[in-house]
Amino acid sequence: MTMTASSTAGRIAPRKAARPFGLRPGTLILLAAPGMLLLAFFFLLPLAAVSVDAFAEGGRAFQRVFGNPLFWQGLAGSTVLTLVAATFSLLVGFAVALHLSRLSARTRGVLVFLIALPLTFSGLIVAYGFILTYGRAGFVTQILAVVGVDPVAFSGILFSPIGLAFASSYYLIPRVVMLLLPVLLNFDRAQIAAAESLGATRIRAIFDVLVPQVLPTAVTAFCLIAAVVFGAYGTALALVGTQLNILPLQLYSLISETGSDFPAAAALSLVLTAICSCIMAVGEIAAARAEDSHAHA
Amino acid sequence: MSTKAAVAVENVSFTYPGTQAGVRDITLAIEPGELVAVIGASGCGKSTLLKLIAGFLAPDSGRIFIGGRDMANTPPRARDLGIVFQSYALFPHMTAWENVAYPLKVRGVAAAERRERARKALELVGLGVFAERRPGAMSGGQQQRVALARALVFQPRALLLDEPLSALDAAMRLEMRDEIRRLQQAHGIAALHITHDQEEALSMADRVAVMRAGRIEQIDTPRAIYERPATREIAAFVGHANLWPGVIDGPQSVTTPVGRFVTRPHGLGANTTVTVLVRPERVRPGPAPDGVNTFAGTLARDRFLGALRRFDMAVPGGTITGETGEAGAIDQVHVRPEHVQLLPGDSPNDDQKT
Repeated sequence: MTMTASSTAGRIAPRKAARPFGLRPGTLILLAAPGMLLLAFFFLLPLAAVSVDAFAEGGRAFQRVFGNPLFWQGLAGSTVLTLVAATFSLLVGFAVALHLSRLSARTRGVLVFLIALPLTFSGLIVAYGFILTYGRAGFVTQILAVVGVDPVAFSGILFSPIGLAFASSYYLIPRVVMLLLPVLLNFDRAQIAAAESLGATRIRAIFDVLVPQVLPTAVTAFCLIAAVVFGAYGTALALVGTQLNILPLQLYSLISETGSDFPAAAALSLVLTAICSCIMAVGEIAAARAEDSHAHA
Repeated sequence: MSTKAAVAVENVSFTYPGTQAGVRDITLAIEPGELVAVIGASGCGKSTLLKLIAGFLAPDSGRIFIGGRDMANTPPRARDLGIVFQSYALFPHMTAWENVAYPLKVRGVAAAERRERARKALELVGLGVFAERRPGAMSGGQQQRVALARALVFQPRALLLDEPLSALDAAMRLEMRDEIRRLQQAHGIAALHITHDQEEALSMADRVAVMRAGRIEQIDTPRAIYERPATREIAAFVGHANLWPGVIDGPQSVTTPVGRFVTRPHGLGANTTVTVLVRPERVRPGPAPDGVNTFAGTLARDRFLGALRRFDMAVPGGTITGETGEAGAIDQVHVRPEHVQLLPGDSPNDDQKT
């Protein structure tokens, strides 16, 4: 950057100062281009194609989707599954992240690597792993059978909504940990000591000082994993087949079964996308409001 | 141990589990309105002492009294101490006034009253107009003032300051020294100030405690600590010092590697090993009128310090460091006998330490 006479005299040129990393706007666009192309070809274009299908019959596909009682049952099933899995994952993930934040950097690094591993597996692998462990012939089930636990009843839990929520948590918890850990690492623990010295109990100090600072990220994490589990079908398909009525499996049925209704599948895809987008938006709005309320309290 | 002491520490020892680190047999009393500074090198135990008084650690042995009450099994929240942390530990999600009002809130003070008291406390530290700002939007000095206001607003029994100025720049540190002292005196509150900055301790405190290896080695007024240090280590830590190993060779003299010094009558027996201390500002350029304690040599280093210059003069057997406001060449220096101090000769490998 060239120093002008005015800037050396102490005045700052706002236009130059506003440039991120001092890069020209053209360079910034060039850097953003790969991402924009990916977004265009792998999100916007497929979304447009699906939209064309969904609206091909003048909106009648949506009427068929919304007019089917199975859709509403599926929506309820997906909502319950999402709430259970996301809440459980958030609680466990927070506890894990809190514990990790108290460890040495070296130990933490090893554990974070191990915790992140489930993110590299597909939902199907996770499902098969759970079946091999907790299914009717799973080794944990067989061990429990020795002490009198009914293998059919026990493995039945895995192939129920509860089991699906449990299996989903396997890859949701690492996401929570990855999001919350930086916040907890940056948290100055002296604040808790300060609150206690000022008269607060430990519990009150945590709720007054730690929770408000973690809450925006926790809400964001909850919504992110809720959106993930709401739209996920790989694990669900492998564990419960199409027996469980949730929206992603309904979509799978609409495409795969004989007499496929592609316009209805496209309409349902748009509905799923819209719901997941809304969940993410709620997370962002909640986080922004939490920040804002603290700023104006 | 004074019964009216605001804070009293009696024979307190503490060791961190699995280590040798901690504090040993600490006894200390802080009277109401008194500011005691605790100084020492990193790891000497000064912050541990603060944590013990604050209740964040429990002593292995000994007792701690605050306001005359034994604090055994009393949690930090019930000790009624205002603490200013090194990092300030302000709550970033709260505004300045909310931070200051927090101790009032946990004590159940009504919302309107705590807001009013918090605003008054902020005005006392010159931050009335910043009440609605959050810590992230304030400078280090402003955050420091908010932390002070928060620690004082609920009228605690004593104030604990844990290296509160270490994160500030030099100019702000000087300003905040005066500010802390002013507020402490205005509130008439006992204060314990932990710092590694000996100049800060000497300039602020009524008394200074020097810690080393978990023990208080000396506690006295700043002047006494500086002018009559109990050990070589204290002399080296507090201010600049010429320190030489010496051997008593007469009732008013001592021999050192840089030569023989005439002293005041010292009452020590012949051949007693001592450490000889001469502060640099007591080393005067030129020969003494009577020729006593005059050393000739060559100027090895000459540093300009503004109002002063600090010089090292190489003499046979070592170096003598002096300070003077006078300009010009220096080839001789002298030290008056009353400025030659004799300390216990506990370190056989002593050399000059400035």
